[in-house]
Amino acid sequence: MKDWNALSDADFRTEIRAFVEKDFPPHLRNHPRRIPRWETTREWFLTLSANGMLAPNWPAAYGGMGLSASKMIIYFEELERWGVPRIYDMGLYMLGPILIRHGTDAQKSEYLPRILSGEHRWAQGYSEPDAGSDLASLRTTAVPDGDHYVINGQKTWTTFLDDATHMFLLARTRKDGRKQEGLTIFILNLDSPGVQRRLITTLSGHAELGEVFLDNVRVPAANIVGPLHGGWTAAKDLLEFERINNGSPKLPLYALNQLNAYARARGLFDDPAFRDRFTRLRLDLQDQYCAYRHFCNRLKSGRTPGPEVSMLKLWSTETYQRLSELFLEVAGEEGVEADLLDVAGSLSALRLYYRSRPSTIYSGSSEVQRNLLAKRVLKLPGARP
Amino acid sequence: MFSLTEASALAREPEVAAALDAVDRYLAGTSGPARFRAARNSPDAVPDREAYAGLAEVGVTSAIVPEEMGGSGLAPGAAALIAERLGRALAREPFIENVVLPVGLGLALSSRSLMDAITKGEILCVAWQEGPFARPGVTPVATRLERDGRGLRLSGRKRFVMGARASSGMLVLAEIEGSHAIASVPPATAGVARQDKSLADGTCWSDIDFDVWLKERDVIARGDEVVPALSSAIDLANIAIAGMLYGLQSRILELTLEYLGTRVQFDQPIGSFQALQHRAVDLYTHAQIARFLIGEAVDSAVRGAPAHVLEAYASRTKARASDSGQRIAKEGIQMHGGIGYSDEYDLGLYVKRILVLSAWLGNADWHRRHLAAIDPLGDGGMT
Ligand SMILES: Cc1cc2nc3c(=O)[nH]c(=O)nc-3n(C[C@H](O)[C@H](O)[C@H](O)COP(=O)(O)OP(=O)(O)OC[C@H]3O[C@@H](n4cnc5c(N)ncnc54)[C@H](O)[C@@H]3O)c2cc1C
Repeated sequence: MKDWNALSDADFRTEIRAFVEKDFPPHLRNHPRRIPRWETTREWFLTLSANGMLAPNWPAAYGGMGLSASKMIIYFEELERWGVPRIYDMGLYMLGPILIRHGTDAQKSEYLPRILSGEHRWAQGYSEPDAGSDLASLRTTAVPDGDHYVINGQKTWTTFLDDATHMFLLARTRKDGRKQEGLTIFILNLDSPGVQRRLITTLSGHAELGEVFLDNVRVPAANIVGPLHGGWTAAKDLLEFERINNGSPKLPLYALNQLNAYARARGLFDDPAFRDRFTRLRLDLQDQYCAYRHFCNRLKSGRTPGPEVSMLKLWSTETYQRLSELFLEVAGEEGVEADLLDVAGSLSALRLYYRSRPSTIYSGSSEVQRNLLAKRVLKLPGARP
Repeated sequence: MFSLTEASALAREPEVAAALDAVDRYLAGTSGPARFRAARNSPDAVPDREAYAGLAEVGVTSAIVPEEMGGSGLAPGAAALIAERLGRALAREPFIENVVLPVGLGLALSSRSLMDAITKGEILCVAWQEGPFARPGVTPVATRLERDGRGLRLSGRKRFVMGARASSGMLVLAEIEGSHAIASVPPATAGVARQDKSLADGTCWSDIDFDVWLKERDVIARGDEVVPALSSAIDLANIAIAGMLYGLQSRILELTLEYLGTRVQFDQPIGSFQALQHRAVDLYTHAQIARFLIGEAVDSAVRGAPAHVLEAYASRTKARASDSGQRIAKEGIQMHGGIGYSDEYDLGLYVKRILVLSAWLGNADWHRRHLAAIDPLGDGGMT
């Protein structure tokens, strides 16, 4: 296994850049979908995997790159710079870390390698129609029956559902006590009898989300991740990982690159008013790197990112949206034409506008992040939730 | 709480109130969002023509045509009040592109023949833009009318022409011998090549190449009055767009307030959270500022109003209504959570329409820059 951290940052950057420029399929650059289908990015996924470059955040012992914070940023930067689209990464950034932390040895050896091989593609089943921000009120139930559990309920807004093979979901295993204390994480094979999916089309016109209906679905008890009834704590841990991932500068960096290319092509930098607005946003992004490094370092040193990490997600996603709004504004009439929306490699302000909308909703809305910061970091009196 | 009616004296004049009632009755018989959704990205002009015919039936196409020219003679500002209704109902009726712009041009040119065409049911569009929005007269017009042995030749390329697809006649701005002219071109003429471009909201505008031979009588206006007339038609259209934007955003605000009252999380309606209450109040405030501004602009847009007054109102209303509209659109999505990002829910249809109308005929940034140029101190250039 290669020791990436032994390289200097500059050498690491050179190496990643050379790799991406040589091995990334050029027709996928600046892909028009927020998340291309599995068939589309599979080849690239497997190329990354074959080169041990798929999981920058996993420890080397599990086949990851074990990158330091600064190298993780370089890794994302170089992929963004080249317009590399999102791959089926739920297993990499969400389930992987939780299995590494809470999984049994059997689960680790069963699932981690299959995440890296692309054989299992994961979706996250937390949200339900009546349990979004108030996740703990979720109603999907799992009832023991011999060495199995029987699951009933409904999940919604599920990303990657189109091509996912598996889902890790939160279900209620106990009805008494605090509602947070009766939840458990299960691993579910989506091919199981009683599972039905329906895809949901979004503002961007792509069916990139979905609903899952669970009707007496039997799941082996061995598929419980972490402690029985202890899913909330494990899931919350994971949310912190998720927030550090969502707080990474990837999204605003992508937007900045798009706007930069457009502005250059149109000569917009000659306009001092534009230059000023662009520079403010560029600095909002670049200054965020420092905070991001701090949280990544915390994570590296074995601590959880802590509730403070919410600030990263807020900053990152709101900068992302502001960049998309500036882009739409400077693009004028061209900005609202839909003909480029699905054209690979094109610069479309509209696409960016759509794509940036949900980032302040998923993985803890901006309002929820602010509530958390007010309560858990600033410890303001009576703060929710 | 939200309608422009209380913000405008014009809206309360009996003939105007009656016309608005007729529009409301007509809209009540159509299925707004469902119809809009069904016609999205429709590749042909049938839905537009049908919608236009619907407008004509209730007299909307001739509402601001002067009585002596066969119309109802309502003050031009009424266009924005009608547009508000259409916006709230998410009607796809091509009102601004096929009614307000050509009628506005006819008003400014006092052109009987134009008005006759409209009252007889012709669907007209105005093709003047050649690049990103700039007022007519600011950038040179590249489309030319040239005379030679065979007659008059019109050649050039127009862009972002809204309402071209359904039209039976196009009014084209051209340069002729150092001055300007408006030529009337039937769309089916040989040498007209139209490329439709679908827009965010599922409607379209067109880029059109012209290389056609015309007759002298096809030139419906010529001389120094052409550019100012076109400008005033665009000003009126922008005030009407502001009205439509206002109608759209007031509906989003309503949907959002409803949702805040009914969606329960943490065992209470999400509208009970002060964080959302304050933001809802901010949206309301922005909408009200837009509302009273537009109301005042509507009342100022009477026949014979000084051009520079309308020019300033056009830019102010367009900038304000676009800004408040986009803010309400963005917050509307956010406060709905996941469902706000889904296509199945109607909110997105309104949001996308706001994006398109904000960008058409100059976005907020353009209009603010324009105001800074024509009226830097905001005193109407008086000092
Ligand atoms: C693109 C996208 C991808 C997603 N992917 C997944 C996925 O893969 N798996 C999954 O499980 N879920 C996923 N989700 C769901 C996401 O986690 C939820 O949408 C989110 O938790 C918000 O829940 P909700 O949509 O029910 O909105 P609600 O919780 O109903 O919120 C509505 C509004 O109320 C606000 N609000 C709620 N509570 C409070 C409060 N206490 N104080 C102030 N404001 C409040 C919210 O911030 C929001 O603005 C995805 C969502 C989107 C949009």
